[in-house]
Amino acid sequence: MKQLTFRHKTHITLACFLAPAVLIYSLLFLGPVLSSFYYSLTNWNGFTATMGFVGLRNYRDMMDDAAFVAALKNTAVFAVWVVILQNALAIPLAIALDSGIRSKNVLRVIFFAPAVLSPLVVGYTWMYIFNPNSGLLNTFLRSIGLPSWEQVWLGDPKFAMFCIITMVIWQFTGYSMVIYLANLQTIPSELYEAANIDGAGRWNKFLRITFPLLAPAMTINILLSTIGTLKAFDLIYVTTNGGPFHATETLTVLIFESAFKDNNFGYGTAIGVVMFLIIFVVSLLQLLVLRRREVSS
Amino acid sequence: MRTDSAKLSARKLSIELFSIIAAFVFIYPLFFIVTMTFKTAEEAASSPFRLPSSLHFGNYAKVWEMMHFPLVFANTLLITAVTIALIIVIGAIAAYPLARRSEKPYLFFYLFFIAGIMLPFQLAMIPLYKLVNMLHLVNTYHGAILIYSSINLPFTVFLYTGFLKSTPKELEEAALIDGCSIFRAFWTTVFPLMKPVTATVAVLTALSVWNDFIVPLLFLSEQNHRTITIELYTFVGEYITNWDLLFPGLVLSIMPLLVFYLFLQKFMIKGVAAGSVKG
Repeated sequence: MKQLTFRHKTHITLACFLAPAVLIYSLLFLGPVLSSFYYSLTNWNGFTATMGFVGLRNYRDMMDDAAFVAALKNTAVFAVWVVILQNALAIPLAIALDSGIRSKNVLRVIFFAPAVLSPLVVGYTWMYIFNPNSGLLNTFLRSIGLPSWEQVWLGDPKFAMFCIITMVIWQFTGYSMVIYLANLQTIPSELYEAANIDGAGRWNKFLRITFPLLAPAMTINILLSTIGTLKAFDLIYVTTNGGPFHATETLTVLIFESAFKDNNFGYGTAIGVVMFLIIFVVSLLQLLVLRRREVSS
Repeated sequence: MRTDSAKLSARKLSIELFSIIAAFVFIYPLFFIVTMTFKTAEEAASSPFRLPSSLHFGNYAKVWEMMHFPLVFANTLLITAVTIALIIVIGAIAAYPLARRSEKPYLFFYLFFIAGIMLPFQLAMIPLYKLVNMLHLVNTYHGAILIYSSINLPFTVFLYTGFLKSTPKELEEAALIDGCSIFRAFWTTVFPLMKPVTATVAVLTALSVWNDFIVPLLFLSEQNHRTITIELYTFVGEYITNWDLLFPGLVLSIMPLLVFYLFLQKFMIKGVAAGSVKG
């Protein structure tokens, strides 16, 4: 009997431990998210007290909405290129810094630095670099005698997405590199020594030892940059705002536009739900594939 | 043998050289913007690549006033610091039962928090906008602090729970036998053990709150409550063509975090790497 009351008391105390976090999180995050699933079935405009239940109409409208299809494509292009290029740059950089060079610590600080800046600052800095008249890039091209290579960059639908991808890679390659570096330090040096005895070449050692054993860091990096690009908003919003001619309009920008500019809250939230499903499915698939790679290697 | 080691050191040297050049190219945009801020308008237009002939601080003084810098800096610092403190306390105590108990309700609440890592803020944004208006939390510090805490809680709880599961129970059990309450036992024996996670949580939360744009865009638009990012956004909106004001504005807004980073770089980089490896 005494034992029971003691256990009840323990549960009550532990419930009190959980209460503040559960309260704040469900009121200000999970609650709004769940109500989003309902709003996505309405035609609510965000202002009026009344809203009509429209069932799945918002979702059906999406299929015929050219802006949505374009945003979906833009988001995919953006995510795929950032994930590939960022990792392709971060791995050699991490290996270079890990090869026993003296300036390792200073270089690490430099490469990581852009990751502490806000996407806003990154956007404004690169807006100047890509500025067609006085910008760094065009001025540079002129000065080395290649004026024909000059472009309006962010103002050109052909190049705008490429410019945004550059900005993101510049900001986060150092971040990925730091994660690869931490992983490199866990690879036992005996493996390389054994490979040396077997007479393995440098390229062979990379392919057979380094690359497979970097799998844990790669899982995290691919997952982080995929989720990061799918959720990216600030940078695009302040540099191109989805333009020119919707060339850089991703799902997040489209949600913001639908909800706060077109006053179509119902439709905006429906796109949000689709975005969540995409993030969920993509990260789950990546986790399954990449984790298997970790185990087998 | 000697030629081998000579070859090796030559190789190392070329890697070092290549890395330094890469780092220079990498950081050049930031370096360039800083040099631009010290130039007069004519100098900036006529010779953008040359170093400034003399350090010209006039624009900084002007922008300092125009951006209400002391105010927005204090706002950002207050919101970031209180959010970090709050999230550490409520995140750590919430993780304790989740890590130590295996009964169903605790497992449920664990998954309940983990789900939040996957959910994009954009999905919460629109109903949250309505809710925050209804609760009169627009343009208040505590409103922003509570919103940031709720966004950052899932990952915090996840990190703390993961860490706690790998620490032994014996310590706090000894404290409990001594007659401490569970809360005191947790606070005096378990919490100090979790320092590495607390550091990671502090760094990740600091970066995400300090640099955030969308929460202040929606909820802190009033002059007195603006943070640095939203002030910069408004400032750039007004002076987009005035590069001589724009650059000092940019540099001023990145300075606090950059200085913080340079002093705590080891700690911050470690925090990020640790947090990611756990995640």
